[in-house]
Amino acid sequence: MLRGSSRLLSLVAALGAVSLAVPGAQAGPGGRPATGGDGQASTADLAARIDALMEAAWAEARVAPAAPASDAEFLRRLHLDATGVIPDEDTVRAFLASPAPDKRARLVRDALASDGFNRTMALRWAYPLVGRQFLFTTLGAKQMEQAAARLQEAMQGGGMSPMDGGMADDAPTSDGPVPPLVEWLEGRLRENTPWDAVVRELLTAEGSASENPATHWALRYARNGKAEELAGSAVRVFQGLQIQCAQCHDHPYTDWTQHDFYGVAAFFSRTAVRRDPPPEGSNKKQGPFVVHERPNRQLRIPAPPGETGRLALPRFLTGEVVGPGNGVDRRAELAKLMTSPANPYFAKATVNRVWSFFFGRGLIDPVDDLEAQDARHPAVLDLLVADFKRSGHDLRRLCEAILLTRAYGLSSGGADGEAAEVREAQVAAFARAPLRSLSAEQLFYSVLAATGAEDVRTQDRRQRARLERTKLTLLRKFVQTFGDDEGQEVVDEGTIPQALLLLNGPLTNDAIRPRPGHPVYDRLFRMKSNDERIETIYLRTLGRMPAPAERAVLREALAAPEARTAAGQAQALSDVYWALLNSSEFAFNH
Amino acid sequence: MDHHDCSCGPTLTRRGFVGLTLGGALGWLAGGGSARAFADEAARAAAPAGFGQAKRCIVLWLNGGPSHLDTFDPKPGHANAGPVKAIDTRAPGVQLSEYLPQLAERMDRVSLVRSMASREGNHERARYFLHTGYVPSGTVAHPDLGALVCQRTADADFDMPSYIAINGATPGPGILGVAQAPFFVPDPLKPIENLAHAQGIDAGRFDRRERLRRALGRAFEETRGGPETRGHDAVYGKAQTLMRSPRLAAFDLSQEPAALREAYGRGKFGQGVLMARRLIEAGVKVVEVQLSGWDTHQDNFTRVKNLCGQLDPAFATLIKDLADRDLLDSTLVVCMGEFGRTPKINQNEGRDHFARAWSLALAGGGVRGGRVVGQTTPDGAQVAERPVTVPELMSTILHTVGVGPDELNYSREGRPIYVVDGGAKPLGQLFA
Repeated sequence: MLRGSSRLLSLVAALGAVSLAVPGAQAGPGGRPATGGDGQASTADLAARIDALMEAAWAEARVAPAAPASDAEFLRRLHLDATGVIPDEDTVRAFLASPAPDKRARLVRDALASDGFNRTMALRWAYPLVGRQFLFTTLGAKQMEQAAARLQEAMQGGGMSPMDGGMADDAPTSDGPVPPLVEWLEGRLRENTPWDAVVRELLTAEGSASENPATHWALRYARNGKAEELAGSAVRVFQGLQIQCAQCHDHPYTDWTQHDFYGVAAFFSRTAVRRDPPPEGSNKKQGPFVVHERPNRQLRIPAPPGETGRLALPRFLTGEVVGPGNGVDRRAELAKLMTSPANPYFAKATVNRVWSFFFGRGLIDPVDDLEAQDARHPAVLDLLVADFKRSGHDLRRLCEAILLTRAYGLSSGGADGEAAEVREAQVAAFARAPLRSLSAEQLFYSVLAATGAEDVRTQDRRQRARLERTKLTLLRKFVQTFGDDEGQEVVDEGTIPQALLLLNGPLTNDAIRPRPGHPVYDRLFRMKSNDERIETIYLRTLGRMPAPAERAVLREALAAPEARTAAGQAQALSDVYWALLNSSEFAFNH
Repeated sequence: MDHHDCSCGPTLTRRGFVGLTLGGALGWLAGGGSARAFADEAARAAAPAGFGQAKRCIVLWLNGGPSHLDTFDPKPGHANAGPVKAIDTRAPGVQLSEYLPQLAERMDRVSLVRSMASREGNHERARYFLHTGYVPSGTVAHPDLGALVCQRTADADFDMPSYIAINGATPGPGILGVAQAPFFVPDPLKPIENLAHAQGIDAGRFDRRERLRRALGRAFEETRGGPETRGHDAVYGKAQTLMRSPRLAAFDLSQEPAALREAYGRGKFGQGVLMARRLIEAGVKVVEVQLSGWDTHQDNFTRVKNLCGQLDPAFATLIKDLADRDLLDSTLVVCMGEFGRTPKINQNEGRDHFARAWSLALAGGGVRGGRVVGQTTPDGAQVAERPVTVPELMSTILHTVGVGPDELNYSREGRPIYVVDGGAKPLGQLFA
């Protein structure tokens, strides 16, 4: 199979064989019913009401919406947004061929029922919570490595020889090592746990970081010993407010005071991190991190040198206070206040952030500063917030409604000769789909999907286990190349190292190098015409049929004298692959 | 300075304007350009010594927080010194730890600040503070000094990255965006990744691929072209310019004489510092080279001695090498970590985090040699004279490259942010 290739090549190429987390290609059935139990409107009805509100707002602002997205455009966008990866060739062919009038709505529901959706949403929330660096390169990564090592041991054990072929039923299955916090969130999303309950779990998590991944958020900030950082992050992500400014002085341009800020910080004054001794018999120097509450720990508001700062007492932004006694679980009280139905920020901040997952921008932007701007479509925000509350904070229902809107299904393409200002005004009004750079993870998994790396089957269990590690290393490198984003909203602008990685790096170049046994090239070589080959590569990379002008360019390239030999043809095909993987069209969700 | 200014300036919104005076609002509307021009003019009018004399900057970053007592601020005879002796240097009256003998010979060109004082004793927060001059607030991602210097002074068309980080990442460009992000060299002893063509691809084949990429990209550009696609094109263009740059030789240490490579030290740090010199010669503006391992909670003296064994030859050779090439006067060299370490030796023969009083070194770029700013008490535990804040340090660094402390940048939300927190003034005595 992979003989005669470089080691790295075979590692990269066979990555997907270890059930690489290219999720969601096959969506599961149904998911939750579109109509809620308590006489809730269907998500389709909800989407229709949003459409009506937005259409009225567009008319008033004299912004004409863009044309509806083509089927191919819609499919690719939805797959990236809802499952984190581009659609595979068969999915594209089937979707383009389907005459069903409701095929888009069905696609949305299937995507939301897939594992890829849970993974994607988990990552989307984990970024602002702890940042990529924490997830992939610090504590999260250490645990991922341990998980990978355990998997490797499990795979090598069990008395099976490395070459005995096939996977036994009891073999561990894995999407590959995933940061523990992401895995935890994924589980909650799979069960569609009401979002307020998930947030309360995160805010109050205690115990060993290796046993309870929900502690990772608290660990991320409490490790720095700063109640202030916990308060700032919690309020930013779950309330959509920027009150950190008030840490040093009364906020100059909002109503928040230093008193307000320290009132929230005081809820975390007892939150601490310790390191337990290693378990008996372990050869490690240190045990796990443990997040716990230390009674009697106090927080003081900073004062000039020589003066003692005032004691900070727990008082929430909405005015509620809790008692100072040790009998009060301050974090639990805060979690209740932050997610209470009476809280004016929680649902709004959540809805607005989820909207931004699918449009690149919130109805209020930035999503963590709800007070900075007025909402673009305030009635739409109000409607979704009311429905989100009524549904018991049902995140999946919220996503489904947004994905079924007309706005989500609009094209990103413009008519010829259209002025740039017109396009900008449309995008600003959510009347045209924006161009959004793929995230590091989307790009990584999409390159693997496009090149067929996930189709390679390896019989060698030891190799499969080793590939788990390699995949982690590669993904981490990929993520590092993109940089961190904690505390900042995700902006994956391109960087020079990232471009170099795609132009010359092993991920792309080894995966597209023609060789016998390569699942895509084997098929391409069996095809009868260059037209068929061109079509296949286009469907795999860009998720659409080639346009006539593109066919013409490629027919010529593939008919050149040097492309007539078998080796020449293979080279020419890999050049096409390379050109498309490095295109703007591939790099953006459009 | 008691409280740090968060620079929570107003957002340019309806709500923001309520809190602004009319004059302030008008100044805002006039935009950063005029503010910048004004600041430039003011800085020039004052014409302080050393302003703008540095054309480039090398940062030697001692990651983990080096013990000041065992490096730049020895306390011979005090119990806190442990086994470390002090040695005289080329600068009269200035002593260094015995672990830095080569640097001692160059102290006529190097100055020390022995009275750094901060409150950030956590690695991550202090690292951010020392790189950006701001305590982390979570509100604004402040740019680090390399990004700031490049934003203000680098040529955008330069065919190499203007900011390069060797051996370790930096906090990065923050609000200035990826255009000012450092190019990361994880290991100077290895070739730069992905700069060479992929295996089996020659220049001709690469060009054919690139032509195809452009031809096939046309349709997308026609229907969806805009700032995003232009940004993508620009990054791809820069990446390929870099691949073809004749200056790439700057990364090739084999072009240096063996004796000089030896003098810098053969490890990742010494060779990284040598690479830094080659890079700034090639036109790179800022290079940061990291030496990790200074978090010496246990076994401090053995470890600091070993680390100094890498720092000393690299730092001393860099000063001599720059001077030999007539580059020292126009190149600022900063050697620092995120904080100092407890003067009292702990039960593990280690020293813990200590931000109240610590030291760092500056050289070149207009900084006079042999000076010492501030001092600590005989036990090394308190600043006894002229406490220096981190914003003052930031201001001093920017001063050398010709950036005034009152210059402004703007956050994504339109908040103005001084390049130096509170507009702190540079340390004049290093230049006079």
